[in-house]
Amino acid sequence: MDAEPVAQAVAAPATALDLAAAEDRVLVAAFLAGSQDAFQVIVTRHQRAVYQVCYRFVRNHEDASDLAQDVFLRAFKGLKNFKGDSALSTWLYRVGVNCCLNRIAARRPDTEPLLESRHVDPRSDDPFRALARSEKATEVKRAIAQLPPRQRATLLLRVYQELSHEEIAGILGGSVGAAKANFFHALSNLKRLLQS
Amino acid sequence: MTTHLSPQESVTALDDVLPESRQAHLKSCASCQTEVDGLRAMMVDLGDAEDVPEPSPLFWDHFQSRVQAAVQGEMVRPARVSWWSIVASVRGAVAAVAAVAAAATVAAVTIAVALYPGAPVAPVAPMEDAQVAVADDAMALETAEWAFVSGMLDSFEPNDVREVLAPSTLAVDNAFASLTSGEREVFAKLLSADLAQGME
Repeated sequence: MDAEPVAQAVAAPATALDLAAAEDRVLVAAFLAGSQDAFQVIVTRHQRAVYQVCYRFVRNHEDASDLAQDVFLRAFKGLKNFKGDSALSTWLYRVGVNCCLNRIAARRPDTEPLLESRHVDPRSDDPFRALARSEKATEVKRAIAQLPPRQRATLLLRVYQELSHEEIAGILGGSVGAAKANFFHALSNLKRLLQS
Repeated sequence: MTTHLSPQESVTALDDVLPESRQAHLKSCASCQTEVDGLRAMMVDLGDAEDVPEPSPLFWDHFQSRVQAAVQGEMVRPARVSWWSIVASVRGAVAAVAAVAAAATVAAVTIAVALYPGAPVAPVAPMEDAQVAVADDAMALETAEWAFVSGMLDSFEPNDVREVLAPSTLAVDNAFASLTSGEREVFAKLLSADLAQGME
């Protein structure tokens, strides 16, 4: 984060209306200057994405909402350490992935609901095809849950959050090459798990 | 014949940004093509499996309230005492106690020397062996006063003894600050008497 915009944001406290439209870096600066409203805007802006990341790891609403709350609480305590060398969303993903990996490490085996499946509309053009796709999707999600944690994190961030390999390397630590290799092994293992 | 695509290159091919030189290999290598096609098919399956149910519309307001409450709870919670601050305070206390013990030892030795000018004086031992040497030599002493002094020294850890023999300025200051006015008066008298004796 540039020092100048931060200083400007701190020097001129923003109104609630300004905050809602402010860029993330301005919100962070305002929060660090003592604005609780700025943090509230950060939560409102990023809650859905953070929740989705958490949900993809734990695959149930209760744990995902608990984890997402934990992410924002950690963010509240740790935003002073946010250097601004990445997007705030990437930094929040990093906090979220760490929370999720800790949860996964603490809870084995994975607690994925056994009967989780997509709703199949019988009025659809081809309900049999829809059912087959639904079953395949359930298998894929189960297979993802069996991947080693870092491969799983890499896969979820790349495929569903559409982050670049550089961003993933920044979140998980390590080189871009290692992030790509992780992604390759995640896909290969997934293929093997689905064939077995 | 060029080498097959590495895992990183296969992922780069999946992203459609493989350098031209390696694209030539991919086009001519059935094995690498199968590999990349397999990865591509897996990506399609993953896309179909994308499914995060949207929570109830009321959830987000509730969620914000939860975060707000958690943050408020964090703000009123007293700061956690870190282990290193405990260690630092314990070390400070030990240093202060050691410095007071040093002062008491000096006073006790001064009194003992004044009362028993003929008593044998323990030879000075190297610092690392101080505890053992002091303890051994003290065993030879006969008077109750010397036994008291040796007993006190015997209970010291090596670090305490180092602090006694070479107390830090801060520890001495802290120890002196913890004395009452009466104790300071007695200490000053003893120190003056000791200095006067040394001048003779």
